[in-house]
Amino acid sequence: MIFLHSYTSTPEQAAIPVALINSLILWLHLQRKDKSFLRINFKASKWICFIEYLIISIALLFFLFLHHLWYFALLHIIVLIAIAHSDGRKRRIYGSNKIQHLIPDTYFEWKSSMRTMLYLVILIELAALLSSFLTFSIPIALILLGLFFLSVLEKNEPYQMILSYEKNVNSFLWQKIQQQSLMLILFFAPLMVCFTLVHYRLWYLMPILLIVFLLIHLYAVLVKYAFYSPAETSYAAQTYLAIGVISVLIPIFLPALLILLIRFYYKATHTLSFYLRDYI
Amino acid sequence: MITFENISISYDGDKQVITSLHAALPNGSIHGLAGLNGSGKTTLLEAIFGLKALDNGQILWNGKPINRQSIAYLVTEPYFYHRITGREYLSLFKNKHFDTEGWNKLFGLPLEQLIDQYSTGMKKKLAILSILKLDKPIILLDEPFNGLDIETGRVLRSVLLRLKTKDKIILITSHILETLTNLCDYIHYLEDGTIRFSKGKDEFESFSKELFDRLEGRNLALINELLDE
Repeated sequence: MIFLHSYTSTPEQAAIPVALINSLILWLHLQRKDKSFLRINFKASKWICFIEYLIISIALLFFLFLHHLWYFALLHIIVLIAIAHSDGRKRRIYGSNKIQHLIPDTYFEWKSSMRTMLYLVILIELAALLSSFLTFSIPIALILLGLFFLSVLEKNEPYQMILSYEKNVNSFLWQKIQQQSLMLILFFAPLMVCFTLVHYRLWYLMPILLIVFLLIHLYAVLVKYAFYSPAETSYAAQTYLAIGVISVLIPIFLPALLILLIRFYYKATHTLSFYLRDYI
Repeated sequence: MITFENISISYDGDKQVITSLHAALPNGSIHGLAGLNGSGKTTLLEAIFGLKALDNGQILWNGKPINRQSIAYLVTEPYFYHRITGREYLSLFKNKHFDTEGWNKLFGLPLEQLIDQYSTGMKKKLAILSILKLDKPIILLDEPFNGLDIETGRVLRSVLLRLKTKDKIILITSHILETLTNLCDYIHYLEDGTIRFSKGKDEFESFSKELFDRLEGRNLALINELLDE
């Protein structure tokens, strides 16, 4: 309660509890197992969900009204309606999504991830754009997106897909790094442009954030292939990735990241050479 | 021609799987690899493809060390990346002249569907389509008929017979001898880490009888003993 009271006292700080509580409710909505039961037994199941979420966030709304932050309260209610009305079921998507058609087939990790992540990405981008007048909203959205997109590299492809590139180790790695960087820039671009236009005095924040996340994603690609084993998810890779992310976010550990980058570059080339040694 | 020159392969430097194997497989032919479970059929295919290191010897292709760029390899249980469609998977393989729609009329796959929703047989068909698209001079097929329906099995047989005429070397493993005798030009029987028999087409009938007599004779006494208890 003290947290809510103090953070909702000013518009700049109010974004934080609103974002946190909305994220929590979104997570709850995706995880809940009773949606089918509600759908079958109640006509207005989505409004029932909405009322539940409203009750959960009643303390937040109280403090928002108390501090006359009507806009935030309205935004929060709109987000709750959107969450309650989102299906949250795993959809069978047959490649008919327009965004997926635009992604080239060699970017299969992104094609695959966008099948489950796309709505969340659009939600985050829209929410950030709508609240772009707040200094923190776009940087927070970029951080969330930058971290979400790391999951694109989580699963290892079969070696036949690596061989299909018909490239030597360095060309293959370079292509993967380029692809990851390009997709990151494409998704970041609208938010970065908006932030630069709205908060032009803080223009330098965007290149800094971009460089930080390009570095994290470069590291993620190298870690993935350093521990690559066909058709497996490497827990070692996930651990080292977490270390890398922490190293970037806590600048004192940045030298460790640079050392790990070099180490994992050599390890990745060694691992991939087993599959790509015949390609010059 | 693929030439095996005194190759030996072991697991962990300990368990010898292939021992001093010599063989020559001419172009434009289909070769069957038969043998009991654990005889080294898959190991040999993996060694040709470079997934298994040789302890000794070398494998040559037209006199030069064999190169993965010349090989298309179908594994027993194909694995695919999640949440991509059949069409997206096939598009990764570079061959502009491959008529995907035409070939898919033979296999009848829903290419717009996610591979995660395919049955085992459908995944096998997709893997076979990718092998055909690769269009390599050497084709290695590990139990290719497993999981295929009767019609697709006949289609695959016809396709392989046609590919043979394009001077390709096709190497197939199967547990079912009849599959190999109906298709192959040569059958090589692996036993104790080496090729025990290599038979041409005209010797298949006598070879099958010889093999069944050998295996059945060994087991029949024990079967009778166990069932009579």
